[in-house]
Amino acid sequence: MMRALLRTIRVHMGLSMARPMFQFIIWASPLFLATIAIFIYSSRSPEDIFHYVILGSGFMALWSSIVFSSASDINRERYYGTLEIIFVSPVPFFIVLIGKIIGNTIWGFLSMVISFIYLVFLFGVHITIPNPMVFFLCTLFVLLALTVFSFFLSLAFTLSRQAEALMNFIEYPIYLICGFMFPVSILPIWVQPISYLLPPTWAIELLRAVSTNEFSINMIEKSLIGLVVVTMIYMVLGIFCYRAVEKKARISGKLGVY
Amino acid sequence: MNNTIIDVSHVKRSYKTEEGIIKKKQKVVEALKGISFSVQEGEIFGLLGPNGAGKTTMIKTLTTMLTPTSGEISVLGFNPVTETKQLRPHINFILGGERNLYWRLSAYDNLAYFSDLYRIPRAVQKAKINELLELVNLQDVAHQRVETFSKGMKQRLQIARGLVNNPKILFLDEPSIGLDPVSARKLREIIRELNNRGTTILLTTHYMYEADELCDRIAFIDKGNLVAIDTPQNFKLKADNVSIIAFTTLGTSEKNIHRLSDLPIIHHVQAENRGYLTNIKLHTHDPQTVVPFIYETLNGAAIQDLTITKPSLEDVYVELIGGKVS
Repeated sequence: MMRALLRTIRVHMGLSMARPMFQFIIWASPLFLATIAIFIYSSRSPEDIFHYVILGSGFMALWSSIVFSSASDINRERYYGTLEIIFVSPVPFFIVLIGKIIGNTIWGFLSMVISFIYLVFLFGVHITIPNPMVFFLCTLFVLLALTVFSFFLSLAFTLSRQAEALMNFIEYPIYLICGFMFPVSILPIWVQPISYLLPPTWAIELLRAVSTNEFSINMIEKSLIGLVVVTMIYMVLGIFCYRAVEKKARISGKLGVY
Repeated sequence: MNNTIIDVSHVKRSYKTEEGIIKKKQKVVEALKGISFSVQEGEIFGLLGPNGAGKTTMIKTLTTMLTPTSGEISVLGFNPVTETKQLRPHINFILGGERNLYWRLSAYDNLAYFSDLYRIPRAVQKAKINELLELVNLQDVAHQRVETFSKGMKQRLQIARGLVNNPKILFLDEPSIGLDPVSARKLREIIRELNNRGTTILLTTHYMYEADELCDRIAFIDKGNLVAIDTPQNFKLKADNVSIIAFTTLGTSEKNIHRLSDLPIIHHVQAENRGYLTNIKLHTHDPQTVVPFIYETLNGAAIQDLTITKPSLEDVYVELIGGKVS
């Protein structure tokens, strides 16, 4: 199982990078987004620049590669004609799904790092993280939470060919709804509950809380608990959907149709 | 032999589809309407039928990809609906066409990935992959990207992919579709070689000569029903007292061709238009009576290349599936 997972990560990292669009998402897009963000926030404090420029543009890159690409990968498998083959191979289908998501997470994280280096070296952005160890642990948990969310979305793609249209439609609104480049509190009141149903909102709030100058454990309590709860909800939904997908795919017979 | 390895009993499979854009209407399409047959260990078993007959649905049901609506199936003693974990490591399948591979990976990497998905130990993987590449004659391009391959090479790589787990049963769905004659022949040689090594093969095909050459037994299916099942030899023997009268005619009307089918001793009329010419094939038990009738019916039209032959498997297929006129 572990061998299949590692090979899937390797194969899909290679396959993803072979696509020019994915290369653009990983190498170029974060630089554009970071440039726009730094021009908007250049007059603000280093803390705000870290929260809304570095984390904001980094999260946009992460969203594009982890969630958006992982979900679309299923449709690509359908197009290649390999979805049916991996679905009926002895290794469980979820291993392949998770392998793809981990592969894209690694690329997404690299993209985040590129954006960070670009801002530090080209724009002289100064970064101070009061507690690097807690920040590192929170980052790992954020990556895990986004992986769970991505798993849930990938399942929708396994069953529906229409999901890609919806996904293309919501890529940019998610940047806004989840407050990647500004606090969610400035959004209309009726939008905010939607924001807090989505793990990226809690994830970026957690990293912002852990990187404030006056950091204390109490400050991350709310966003950490929020992220744990929504992640658990999406994990349960993911497991439930996975079982439904396994059953329904064999009834509808649409895995090979693209 | 005579060890039943696949047992299909009264299997039905229907799909729900939707019609219309605004007012959607659900429609149920019956792909399989109660099919029963069995396959013996070591056999090459052919499923033949026109497009939409239910061949691919049958293969997908046997390979755990689809669940039947009703009926019983046993493959290697396992139920493909409920015992997928036990069954999947022992079977494999190849769907026709160029897809079903990662084109941006090399042939070797494709096989390595699928080997891991079939839990083939790394210790034997390398030797196994090289052996398979040699079997399908792709060893020289092992590290070349699949996107640079011809259709025949991709098809052969698919065969290799289908063999990574040494399957006891290999399911082939129209494996030679779109291949040139040389590649198709090579593919048939590989299938025969696999069968000689002990792999049971269930294949679907449109090509009668392929089924005739490869299959130990054949099942004809049409519109979800099993029409007939026997060995190719027996099918031809049963049709042995049938003669095929073939000829080309110039300047005859469609009405006259239809009049040929009015004669009860003509079982089947097959007409194919080629510009001004029409190739006609008639199936009959009594060629002596039919030949003068042809001249009389076509009334002055030029008739050339008239031959009377024994039926091929294709003629048997046309008679079973094609109705009176095709």
